[in-house]
Amino acid sequence: MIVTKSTPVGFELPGVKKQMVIQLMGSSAWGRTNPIHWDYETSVASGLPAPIATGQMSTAYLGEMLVQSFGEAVFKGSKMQCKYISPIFAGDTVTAKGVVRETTPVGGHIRFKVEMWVENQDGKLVTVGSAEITV
Amino acid sequence: MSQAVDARRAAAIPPLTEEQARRRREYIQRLKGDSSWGFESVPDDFEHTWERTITPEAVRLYTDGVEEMNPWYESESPFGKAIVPPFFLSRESAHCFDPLGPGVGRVHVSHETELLEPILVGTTVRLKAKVGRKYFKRDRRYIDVNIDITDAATGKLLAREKRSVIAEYRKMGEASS
Repeated sequence: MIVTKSTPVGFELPGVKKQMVIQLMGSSAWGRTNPIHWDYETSVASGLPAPIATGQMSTAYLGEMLVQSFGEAVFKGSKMQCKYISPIFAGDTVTAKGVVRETTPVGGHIRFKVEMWVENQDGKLVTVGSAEITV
Repeated sequence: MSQAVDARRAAAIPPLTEEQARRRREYIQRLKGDSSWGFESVPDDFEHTWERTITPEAVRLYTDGVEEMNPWYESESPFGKAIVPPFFLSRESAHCFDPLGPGVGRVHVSHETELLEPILVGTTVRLKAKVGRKYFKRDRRYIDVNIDITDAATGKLLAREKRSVIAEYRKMGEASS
């Protein structure tokens, strides 16, 4: 765990960087039953330029980042929201990032509000969200 | 789209043998045949409740799928036994439309997740999903679903999820490519 009660507003969480692989995008955990996640022709027929990753993969990367920084505090009494604003394609390199935006004392603990997002190799935002976690 | 992006995306999709391509087409046809998914096929009062025992294998599938290697999800955690990753049940919530068959073309666009208690691997959870709203926005068809996740044995509320999906990426009125 990296974040403590004294971690200040503006603290940048260590990021999590991943290479998007189509075999994982289409695996049973993610897109196996929805071929827009692994089949080019189905994706194009659906109005997409190519297969896209499930948004939940992005969410999982953000979760990994939060657990690295906040540890066990993530698992009890936390809130997160994620919005997938742009597709992620096979071959993309994505990075989950976050910044502490607010700290609020709550009964001997600190409630952290984190702005978080995932960006691709071009710096384009693909997922945006926030998290509230008590330490 | 730039040539560089085209090349990157093309390189990321390995070529298939003729047999692979044929079997893939057959599989996709089966998925479509098994699916009654669509905006219109989801009743306004649609509800679905299901239970899932969270096995170590299911957690491993999830963590392998995002190359996540945290030992908390496999052996010991600060809560004693192995726990499930924070968004594992957010992913499980995607099964809320399973009675309609495979969601071919469906796109998940957002979620709000509240984690109330850590969940140990091996727990049987009950997920109760209910459509909150169906609506149109920017020429796309949206469905919001609210899901309560409880410990099936005790009834204790473990997590809450609100997820939004669009029926398909293509906008209304756009022709299929």
